[in-house]
Amino acid sequence: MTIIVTRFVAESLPQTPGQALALAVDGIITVLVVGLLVTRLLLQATGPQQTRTLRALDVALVPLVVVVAIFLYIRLQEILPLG
Amino acid sequence: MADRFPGFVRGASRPATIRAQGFEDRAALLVGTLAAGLLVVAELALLVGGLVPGTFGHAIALLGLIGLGRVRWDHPEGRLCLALAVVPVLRLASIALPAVIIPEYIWYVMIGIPTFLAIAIAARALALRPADLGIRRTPWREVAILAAASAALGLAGFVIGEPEPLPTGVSVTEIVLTSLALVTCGAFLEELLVRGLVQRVAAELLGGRAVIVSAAITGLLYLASLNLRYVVFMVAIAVLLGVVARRTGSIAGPVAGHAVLLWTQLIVWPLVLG
Repeated sequence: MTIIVTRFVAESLPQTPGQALALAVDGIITVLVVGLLVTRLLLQATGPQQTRTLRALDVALVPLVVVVAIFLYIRLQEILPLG
Repeated sequence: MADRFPGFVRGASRPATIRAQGFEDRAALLVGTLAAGLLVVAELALLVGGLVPGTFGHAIALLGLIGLGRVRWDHPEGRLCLALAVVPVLRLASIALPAVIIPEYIWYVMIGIPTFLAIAIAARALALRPADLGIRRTPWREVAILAAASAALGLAGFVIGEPEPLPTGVSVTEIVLTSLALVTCGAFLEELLVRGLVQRVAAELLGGRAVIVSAAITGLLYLASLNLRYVVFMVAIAVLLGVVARRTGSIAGPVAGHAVLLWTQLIVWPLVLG
């Protein structure tokens, strides 16, 4: 185990597609991403004086958008065989 | 740049001597304490409460660190907060992305992609070039010595860390792919984040004591291994790698040492000893 893949998370993984879909973790991260995105768009609309804030927000927003895209793909892979 | 960050030398071929500002004012001390508190509480929420409280904790820590970084943008402690913001991004990815239908070596890649992205964006926001993050040449002897020492330490890591045995019937292709994932998205990513980014930015505030910050972050993140002896072992390794990174100004040696350590500990010794 490393800091990237931890034993704690590996032992807490949902074992079925139903459990995975019901997990609140994905929802929390999605809400966070939507909140950051809305904040970024509002700040961007106020003018160029918010450049530093936008740069700081991007440290969180851009990688978390990628995280959401990957786990949406994984959830689809989990439930597609059921359909 | 040189005026804002003493010791920062653009285009320097040797590592810049960073003169630490230290916790000269109360604001810096308060921000440093808040940042450390946010990360510790988030990780404890994960370990004590489980995945959902841990996700909440790291989401709050992320927002807090971004906010502190923005408020103290022109100060070393604000820069350190922005660098530390990559830690909750890594943890959120490592909580959300592993899935039983995906092979474990792909977990490293899936978690690695957003984390590399976060490091790149944070480095750009902090005006750090690859050389500032320690991506620069270093004498090969340094790299070879660390790699050789780590090969021996890998056995200790295997005994202390008690890694999961490799699945029966694992193919050579899977072993090669797992090894590549461990080296790139395990060793290189961890060193780039902890020694390259966090320790480099912490040095602007704390000088040589930045090694303590990087070792503390390593220890905090290894708590999720659920093995206290292994945490102590990895913190000791982190101090060694931090000292080497500071002395050489490069993460080449630490990456080589960390890669050999992980590879021997998680692949070689489980194959040899079962």
